[in-house]
Amino acid sequence: MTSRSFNWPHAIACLLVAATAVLLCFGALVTTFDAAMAVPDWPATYGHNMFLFPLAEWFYGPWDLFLEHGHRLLGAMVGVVSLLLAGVVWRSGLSPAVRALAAAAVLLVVVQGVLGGARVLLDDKTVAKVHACTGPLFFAVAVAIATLTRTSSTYASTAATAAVRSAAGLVLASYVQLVAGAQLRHLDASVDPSTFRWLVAFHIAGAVGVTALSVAAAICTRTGSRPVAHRWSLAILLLVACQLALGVGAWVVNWGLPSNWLPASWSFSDPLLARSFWGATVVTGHVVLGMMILGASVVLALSAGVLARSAASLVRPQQTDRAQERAFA
Amino acid sequence: MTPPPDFASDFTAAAFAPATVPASLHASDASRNTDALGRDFAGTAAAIAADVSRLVRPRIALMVLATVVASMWLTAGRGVGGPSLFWLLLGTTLVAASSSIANQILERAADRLMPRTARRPIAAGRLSVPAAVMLATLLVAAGGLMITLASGWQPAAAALTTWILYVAVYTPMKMRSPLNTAVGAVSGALPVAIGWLAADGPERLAAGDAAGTLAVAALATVLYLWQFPHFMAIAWLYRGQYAAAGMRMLTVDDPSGLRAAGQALAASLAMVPVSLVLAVPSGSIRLFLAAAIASLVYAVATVGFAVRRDDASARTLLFTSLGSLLALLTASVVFGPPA
Repeated sequence: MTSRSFNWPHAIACLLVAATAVLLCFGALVTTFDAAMAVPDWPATYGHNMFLFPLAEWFYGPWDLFLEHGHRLLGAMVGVVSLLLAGVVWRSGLSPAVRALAAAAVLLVVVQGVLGGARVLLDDKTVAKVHACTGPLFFAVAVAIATLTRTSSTYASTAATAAVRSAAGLVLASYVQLVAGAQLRHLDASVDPSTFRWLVAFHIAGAVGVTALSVAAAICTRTGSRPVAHRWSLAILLLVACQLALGVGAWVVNWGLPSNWLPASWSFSDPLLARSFWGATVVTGHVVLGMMILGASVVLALSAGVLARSAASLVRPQQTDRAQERAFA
Repeated sequence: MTPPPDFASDFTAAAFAPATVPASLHASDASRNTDALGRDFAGTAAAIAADVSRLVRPRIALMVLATVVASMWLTAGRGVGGPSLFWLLLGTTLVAASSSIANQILERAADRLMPRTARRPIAAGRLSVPAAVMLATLLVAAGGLMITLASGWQPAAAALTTWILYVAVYTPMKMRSPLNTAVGAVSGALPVAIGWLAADGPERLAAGDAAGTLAVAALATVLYLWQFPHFMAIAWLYRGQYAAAGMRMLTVDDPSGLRAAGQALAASLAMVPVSLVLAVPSGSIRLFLAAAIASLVYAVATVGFAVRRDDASARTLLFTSLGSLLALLTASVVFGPPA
């Protein structure tokens, strides 16, 4: 690298990760407070152009309107940043894999926007579930782009198989947990008790799987030449420990103290508790932390060497072109 | 590199060109009908069956039929069935078979240069081009007529549009641009429209049943996106043969495989949320989870291919693509019909 220019792709990718994290928090709060239908039209907001909706009505209006409209504005912002990132990544001449991820981010953000609109227009819980599952996927892609656009020296040239497998498994398991969690968060009143209990059991089994994989990842990355990966695995262990505590808390908030090993029905034991400050914090925090675990798992997987074999071609500029070199300076 | 065959001529001219087997391919292998061990079984029933299979490619036809059924099922639920379904599927099979024959007529010169396709009956000269043209014409006409009589002109028009896109646009494009997969994938997704139109999708949508149409649109998008990793894996495995035949696959234009892997990766990631929409009409949690797991496994296999870009990971991706599509379509039919 001869040039030390500012790494725009990485900076914009980091901005995208940060904006998406805030967006996900808003999205989780929208579900917690059942605020999705607070604005019944789309893409307009109560007949106004979304971007021209009066600020006073937004800030001083009802809480659910604040959440839903804020979620929409943040979503639009994330869409713009995604497009900007795709443009910069394309112009920077980064490798096709990074370009593909940027293209995937644009595709996902468009799909997510349409899903958000369909959720409102159809007032459909299943669309809401799909919307809830697409957000974390988009976040994972944004994290991957931010990680890959860092300097190539971060990545080792050989893959540690066990570490790679546990890290990749952790990405998969933490995402499946979010999918299962989305089912539990958007349950329909018509769902039968056996399906509900089966779903809870699935989520608990997933929690055991994520815990086991995070321990395995920490053990596998303990030795070897990748201290960065080990640090990330320890951070994930800590996040998982907090997540387990929040999971117990979310159970109590939603279904009361466990009298059996699985709750008997899906109905909230005390909806007011779920929407109280602490109730909402626990439930929303459980969702947001799940997404953070997914994002951290993506970084771990990359730094543990999932892309190690092709790291040079994936991360390094393909040519000695100055513009390309600048992207990784 | 062998110069690409002349595809400047139109369909008819190409179709009636003499079907000679070039000396470049070993004549004893290509023109004879042999089994996998090279034993000559020309003239037997097995040989005829093998030729018919190579000509109409039943696995592709089966996938088209599964797509049509899944699309109808998502649109109309348990109202699907009866003799009209039988005739619709038979008609669709004939149109699919016709498009396969027409494709082989147009690509016969390139097919002769690839061991994978050199034994196809038209390329090998066992079926003359005029006869193949006649067969393709008869099949598409009969298929179109059957679909029209069974389900109306709209599904028939969708089937014929698929045929035209596959034969007249995608097939010639393979020799000219690596964008061919993006175009060919449209013809792979269009059979969904046949099912949707046959199941009165537009009428249901007009009556306010948007969920079924949303799911069918998701199925079409899933099928479109699904084809990128699938075909990139094939394009990687046969990149040498494609290059020899002058076909402009992405893996030929970029032998590193990075561009192919990139397209596959983007498509597989976008496919995850779109596949979840399949669960919207039924609201089925089982379908939702099945779609999530099937599409995630596919995405993981694609990531594996993107990272490794070798024959083993391409083969894994190819098998995973078939398994995940089968799982998605099966779950859609078993768990997904609207109430």
